[in-house]
Amino acid sequence: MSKGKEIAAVTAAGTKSKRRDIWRRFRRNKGAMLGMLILIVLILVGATVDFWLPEDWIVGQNLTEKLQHPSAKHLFGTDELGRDLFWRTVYGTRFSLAIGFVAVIISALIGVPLGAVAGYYGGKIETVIMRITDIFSAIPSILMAIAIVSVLGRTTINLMLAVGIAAVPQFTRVTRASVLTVKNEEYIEAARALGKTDPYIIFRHILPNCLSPIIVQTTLRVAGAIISASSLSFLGIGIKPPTPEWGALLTAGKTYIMGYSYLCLFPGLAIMITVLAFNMVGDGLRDALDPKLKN
Amino acid sequence: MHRYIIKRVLMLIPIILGVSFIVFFMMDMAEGNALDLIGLEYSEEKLAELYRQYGYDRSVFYRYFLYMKNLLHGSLGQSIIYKKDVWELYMQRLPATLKLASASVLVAVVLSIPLGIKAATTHGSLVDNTSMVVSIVGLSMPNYWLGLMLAVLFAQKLHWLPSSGDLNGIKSLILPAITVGTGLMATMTRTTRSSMLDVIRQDYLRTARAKGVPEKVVINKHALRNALIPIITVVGTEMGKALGGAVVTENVFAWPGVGRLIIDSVNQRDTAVVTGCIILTAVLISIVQLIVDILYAFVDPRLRAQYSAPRKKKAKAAPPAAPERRAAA
Repeated sequence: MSKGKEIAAVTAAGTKSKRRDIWRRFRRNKGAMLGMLILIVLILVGATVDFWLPEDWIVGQNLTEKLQHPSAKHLFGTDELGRDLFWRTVYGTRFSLAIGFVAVIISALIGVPLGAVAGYYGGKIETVIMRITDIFSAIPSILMAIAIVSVLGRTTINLMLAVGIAAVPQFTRVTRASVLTVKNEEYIEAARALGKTDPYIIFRHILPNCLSPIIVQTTLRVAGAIISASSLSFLGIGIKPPTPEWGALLTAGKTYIMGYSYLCLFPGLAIMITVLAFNMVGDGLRDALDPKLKN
Repeated sequence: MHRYIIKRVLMLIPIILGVSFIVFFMMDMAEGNALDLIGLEYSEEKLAELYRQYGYDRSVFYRYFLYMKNLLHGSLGQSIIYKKDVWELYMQRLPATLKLASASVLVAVVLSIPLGIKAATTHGSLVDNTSMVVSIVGLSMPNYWLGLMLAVLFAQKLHWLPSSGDLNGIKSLILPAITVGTGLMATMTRTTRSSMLDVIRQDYLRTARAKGVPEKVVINKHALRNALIPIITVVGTEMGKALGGAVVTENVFAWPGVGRLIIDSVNQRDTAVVTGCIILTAVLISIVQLIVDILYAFVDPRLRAQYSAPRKKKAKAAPPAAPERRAAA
């Protein structure tokens, strides 16, 4: 028993120093640190904006000030109803981040177990799962998302589902490849010899040891999901305009793009900066988690 | 080689079956159908007849059966909205899509490969860092937004280029191609750079330099040739993306490609058009991938040897693949 505790302590210490190593490598990457800083600010804004931003600033119309170009009073200008675009863009953070995160959680919840089962069991199960994955990935993901939204109907939750489901194949592939690298390790053999059940082995031994590529994929996919969701809004299949989601703001601004291009410029910049931050963190994580890959 | 190509073409069959099944049933689950949309044009009796003709008076399985029967006879069915053969509709739109996809891949290749090489050969320099920043920014830009902004700048403000349609020849192709190309460029630059960096550290480059081969030849012949496989792979994948995913850009520039046809047809619930076009897009992307695989053989003689004697070599190289093949047979 005490021996077991000792081993646990040693392993824990090993995990800790490994984590410190990863953090050290991540910290040295300036782009990744910048990306993380931006993300922290965005997440704080997105999570709290409901509490401190007066509703009137977002929906309050003021026709005497409609379509004003950016100025000190209205940083991003005003829209056709005189609403301040800066505050509407700030408020939009909560939609875009929520859609990005929820969509990716959906894809991971479906894709990771599928990939793990395919990789772990191999044989016929693997063939079936991977061939179905092939079929789904033969359909371009944006078209897939469009089809799913038209089946489920046009609501925010369905948009998240559509974007999430369309990205499942990528998670399945990455997880399977990752599971294959550890499934023949000796400690898996040992766990099996001890009579552990397959689900226990998959969740306690395999997945924790091949998480790195999955974490990286998750971060990068949040970026992809934000772009996909806003593209759907732009095509008129996602979130509908008066809602200040960034894609919807852009769509609304498109009508006035002649002469008032700032209406499209700023929401697009907001999307770009958010996506950029996720991409930089994702790249940084990849380099930090697997230094061998770094060039 | 022939056997390999035939095998790959045969592998398309399950993909076509699967894609048709998924898309057909999804379209059918969506609310409303195309006949409801055009129903007002017809008398009640005529509408009832059309319902019977397209199988809307029976279950979805019957309609799928009809669709598959047609497909086996080589027909992708009829569009209810356009009242035309789906194949004919697709062929009308395909040239625009091909034009846009190849132009954007061309833009991306011409810019990204030299940039990637330069970045790798001057690893850690200003050029290298700038190219990495540019490519990650390019990757993070929503395509449609870039398109809109380019249209505002070059079409509205400067009046240099048209912002929509494809009626002005090469001029109307420039903005859409740059828009799609920027997204593709990012991945290509990064792949070229990392692939070149892998090769540049190899001993044979030092040997080549030591025996006095000029630097230009060292990079362009010895290094690039060996770094080409990942680069070709990524060009192929990006071409696939441009063929299937330029939907949004097509929308921004009112480009009359397949993507817009699909979106319009999804909204009009024109099941046959959506299913047919997605099947053909999937086939087209697979063909591009097959071409890429064949190109490997031309670039790398080692792979060529593998293609010509697939069985022996493969069994030796990758024994775990064997059970899979047996399962397939």
